[in-house]
Amino acid sequence: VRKFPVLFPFASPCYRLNFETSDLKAKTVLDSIAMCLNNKTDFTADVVRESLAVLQSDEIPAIPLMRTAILSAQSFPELKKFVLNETIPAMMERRVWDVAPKVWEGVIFGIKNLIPAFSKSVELSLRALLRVPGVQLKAVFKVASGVKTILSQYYRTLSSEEKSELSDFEDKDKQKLLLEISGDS
Amino acid sequence: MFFSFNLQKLLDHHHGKNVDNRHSISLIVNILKKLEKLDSSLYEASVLAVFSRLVYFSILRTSFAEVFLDRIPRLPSSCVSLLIILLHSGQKQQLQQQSHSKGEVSSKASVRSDCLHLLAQCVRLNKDEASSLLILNYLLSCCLSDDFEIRSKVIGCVVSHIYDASRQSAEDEQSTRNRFLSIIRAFAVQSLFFSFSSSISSQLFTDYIQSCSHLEDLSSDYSFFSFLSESPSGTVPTLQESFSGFFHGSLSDNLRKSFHLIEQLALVDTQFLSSLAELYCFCSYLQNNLSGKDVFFLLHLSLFLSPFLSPVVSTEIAAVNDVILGEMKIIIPAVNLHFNEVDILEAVLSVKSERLYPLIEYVLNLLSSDVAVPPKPLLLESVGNFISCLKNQPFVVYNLSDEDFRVCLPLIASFSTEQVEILLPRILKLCADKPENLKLCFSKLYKSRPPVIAKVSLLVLLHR
Repeated sequence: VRKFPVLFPFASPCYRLNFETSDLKAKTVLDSIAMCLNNKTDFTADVVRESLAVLQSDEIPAIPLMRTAILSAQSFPELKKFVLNETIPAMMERRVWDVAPKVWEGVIFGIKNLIPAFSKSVELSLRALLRVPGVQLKAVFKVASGVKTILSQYYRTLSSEEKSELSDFEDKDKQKLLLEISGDS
Repeated sequence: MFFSFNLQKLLDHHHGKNVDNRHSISLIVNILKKLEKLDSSLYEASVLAVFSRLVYFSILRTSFAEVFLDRIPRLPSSCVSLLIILLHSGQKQQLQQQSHSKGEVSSKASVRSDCLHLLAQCVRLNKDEASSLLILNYLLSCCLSDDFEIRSKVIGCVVSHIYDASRQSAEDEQSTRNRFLSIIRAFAVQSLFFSFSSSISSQLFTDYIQSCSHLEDLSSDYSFFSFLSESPSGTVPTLQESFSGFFHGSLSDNLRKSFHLIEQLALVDTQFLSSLAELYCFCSYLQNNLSGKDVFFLLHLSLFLSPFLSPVVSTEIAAVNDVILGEMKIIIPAVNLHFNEVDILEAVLSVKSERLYPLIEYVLNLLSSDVAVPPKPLLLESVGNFISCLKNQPFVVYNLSDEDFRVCLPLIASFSTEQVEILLPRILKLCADKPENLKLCFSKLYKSRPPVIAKVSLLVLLHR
């Protein structure tokens, strides 16, 4: 049991639990989280938002984080903006594809489910997405093909300085993808 | 006419007229005392006349009956017969409130209650103990009546006017009162036993007693098997026949009838909950140790031994514990109005057996149904002592087996935040197949005042 610092004054100290050694099935944990999320009377949008804020600040994000983020964004429309502007960019900034590949898979599903069209509210996510390495971006396009069009729409709005900032000359895959995006536009 | 005149003076006194009632009471009692020595039949007729006025004017009964019964030399059997006849008279639909110019004439509705009250007073105040016991026996037999109205009224009267009143009586009267208490307790637990045993082979009881280490104190008044200790071989005595007339319905119906008295007694004496706990243990034993075929076979044998026995199938035995849980759902909140949670739990925990676990869990859930109020620390201490006694090792919450820990779950709000955080995976595991239990457990954690764990912390903890 590893003790974590208190992040909120009202919250008690949290412990990282070793669920694997406790003979606990992942489904049991996921079901219990879903049960909380379904209980909207007690677990309001504010409670879920604060929980997501705590969880996304973890050095190694918890595996069910993105599942919770997607489910809560679907349950509480007011949380969708938070997930798109805070949680998803935070995961990309933390380079979760390296530290927690399962969470990265969740991020990709989040992008697919929560970014239906280009709008101001998804700009932060799209900006963060343009910063991910080519291999990861390719994986995103593979699962969420619709995002490619949205991303190209956004890319078109960027200034040439911003575009050059995003270019990583060592990452050939990314160069190719950015070219495709520009070509589409 | 003389008695009527003097009783009228008592009534007038009650209505505020300036009449000296002490003189009237003394006069009536003194004349009765003299009559008793001179002419027994005249004495009996006179007491009967007074009794009829007591029944007719309920106000006289409440203010005068106790003094009267306490001071008359003896209670004639004709008076008891009159009360018993009146007790069974009148139909509910015919009852109508009557008024009288002088007021307080008993309506038919209250005649039954008044007669019952008088009979209860006769039991407590009668100088002839044998006669008191006869009346008590009669009242107890009415406690198993098929007529719900009679049963309810008699049970209410026996519990409040005899049992509870006897428990609170002065010390110098304890010896007689203790006899009443013992008789009522014995009747209650034996009726419970026979409502069940009329369908079960006596051999099963003997086997059970031999297999249980917790049944050391069989002589306890509240023990479901108390009277078995008096029988040399531990077999069911012939008393079964005297109860057989009361239990002719299905097992569930019989049980509900016998539960009625126990339920009401538990409202004034929590120890009766231990009788139900003992029955629960026994049923669990039957369910766990015998297949349906075995039970039926043994019951089939018992049919040859006793012609009035009716067979039960194993599903009926399984249903008994459901009936007990259902009854507990009604009893516990009612008992909790008069007794604190710890006393109630201690009564249930007096039966030391692991078979009691589901019942303990159920009772604890009932006692901690208000999720905003954290359970008393003594509840967890009692459960801890119970488990510790069973397992013969100190109670350490982290070292408990799953079964032991499940019993403690209703008291989760008694745990510290640190304990809950460490035990959370275990809580999830134990409630995996019962999401409603997990939901209740969580709500106890974050709704308790103060919360054991905040909602945000709980959700975060679940992820990590």
